[in-house]
Amino acid sequence: MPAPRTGNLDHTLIALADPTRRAILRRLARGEARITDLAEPFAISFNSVSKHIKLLERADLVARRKVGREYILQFKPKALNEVQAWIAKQQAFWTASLKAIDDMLREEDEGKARK
Amino acid sequence: MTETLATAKVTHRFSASPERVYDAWLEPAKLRAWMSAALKGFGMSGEMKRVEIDARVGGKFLFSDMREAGEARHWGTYRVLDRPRTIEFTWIVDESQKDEPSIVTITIEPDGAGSFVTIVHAKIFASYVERVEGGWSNMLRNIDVLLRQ
Repeated sequence: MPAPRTGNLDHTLIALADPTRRAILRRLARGEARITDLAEPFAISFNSVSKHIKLLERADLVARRKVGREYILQFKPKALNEVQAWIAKQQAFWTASLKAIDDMLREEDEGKARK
Repeated sequence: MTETLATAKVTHRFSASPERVYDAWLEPAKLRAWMSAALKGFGMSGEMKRVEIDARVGGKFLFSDMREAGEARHWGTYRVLDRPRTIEFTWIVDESQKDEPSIVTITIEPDGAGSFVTIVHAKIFASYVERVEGGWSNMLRNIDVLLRQ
């Protein structure tokens, strides 16, 4: 079995499952920030923020780059498209299924009516 | 809490009774017919290879159809079978997802002489899949635990 790749749907969903991580994403969506900038408004420790950021990075929702001694974090919205794509695909499949059941049941009724 | 799950939802109104809509999901010949038609609508062959249904709670199902790349399988386990109101099953389409299934809930409500059907397909997380056998209340508790970590 292939190793889970970065940014897969499950990683994305797990990353989004936490209110602090969603808040971090909202903050980064407004612009880049340093890890130390993020810890402050959320009233959590640097270590705790680091853990959240690691999960966001695993989901490919956040990228970091080093500038001097500091890490600058950037929001990467592309992984969110995967969630949208999954939802759209399932909706298309189940819509088609219900339509096909409806057609089948109508045909049964028409068959009976003809008898 | 549920806002954190990816959820696909569709609805459809049927002129057929809830019982007939319910049975379309569990009688192999009927499922074979409509699933084949639905797949053809997506430009696939619609050639159903296997339709195996063990219609009891905890029972498994397997539907497969032939595609260009070979046999495409869908399988899972029935979690709720409450004729003619509710059918719920895990839904797996790929071996790599077998520890991370999604859950499909079909709700059938009477609507005049017909019925109104809602399908909710929710992607869930592996860490609590194995703990949800007690049902939704347990699952919601486990989500709570997951979110507090």
